[in-house]
Amino acid sequence: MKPSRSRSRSHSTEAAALALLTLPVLLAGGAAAQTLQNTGALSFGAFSAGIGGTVTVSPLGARSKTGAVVLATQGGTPMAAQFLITGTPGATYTITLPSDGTVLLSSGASTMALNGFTSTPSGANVPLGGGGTQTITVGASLTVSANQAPGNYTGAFSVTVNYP
Amino acid sequence: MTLRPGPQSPAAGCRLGARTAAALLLTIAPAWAAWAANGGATASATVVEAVPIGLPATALDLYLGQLSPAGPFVGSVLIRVIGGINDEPVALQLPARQTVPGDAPLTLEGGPALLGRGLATAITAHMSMSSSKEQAREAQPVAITIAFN
Repeated sequence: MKPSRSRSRSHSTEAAALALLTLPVLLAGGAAAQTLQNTGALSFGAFSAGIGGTVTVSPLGARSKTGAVVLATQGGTPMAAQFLITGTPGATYTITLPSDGTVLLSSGASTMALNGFTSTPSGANVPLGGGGTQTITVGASLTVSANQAPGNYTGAFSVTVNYP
Repeated sequence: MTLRPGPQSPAAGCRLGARTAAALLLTIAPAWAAWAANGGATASATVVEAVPIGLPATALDLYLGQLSPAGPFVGSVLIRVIGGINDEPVALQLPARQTVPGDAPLTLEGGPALLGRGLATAITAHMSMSSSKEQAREAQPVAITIAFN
């Protein structure tokens, strides 16, 4: 027995109505204005490259180096990036940071790769807290090549927070 | 009274289904966007040019400006960078120890620093020598060439 046309149309109309009624409820209850706002840039300060190495800025803003890199105390203040997350109080979220080598700082044709992104807090199921806001700080490690060309290097990266 | 649906072709039913799906997508998409918040940030670094060893852009006028009356000599060391490579400041890596005439070890403190071209900057020097006042009076400013990295 074939379903009638009117029954088919009725199902479609019901589906649309259900969607319109249900989704606002989901929106209001599960994801109320979750935002992630950048409030501070990541800065590695100034250094000379020598025969290369790495410069690391921790999520606390502490700078360290490996190899022949010489860190300079002038010419820029090392800082960790800062984000302000706003959302439902008590909600948990997961922080996703860029993968190694996917973010480059560039100055003209010269580049340096950012690796080892770390954050505080970090990982999965991070509680947002009762206030509904939290600050995330992000650090990374910069790979400096031998005789890296002098210059001001800039780049951009993204951080994602997912709510279960 | 009986309400009857009006005539509708199968094609019209398909259109309605497509509209419903589109409406769902339009409604769901912002919802998913709200569940995954994204934030962008900038990153920066400044690579400065180091002065190689052997270039004429070396340290000049390095002397002990102040001598303690007794004990290890402690004084300020003036370094001035002349010449240079470009308009950027240069990075200077201080050696851990320098030897002055008489084989007295001289330790410079301050670590790597950036020196502006033509500017003088002062760092602290500790010299381990005899602590006698006589020798301190006889001490003369010493000229030491600092190796840039």
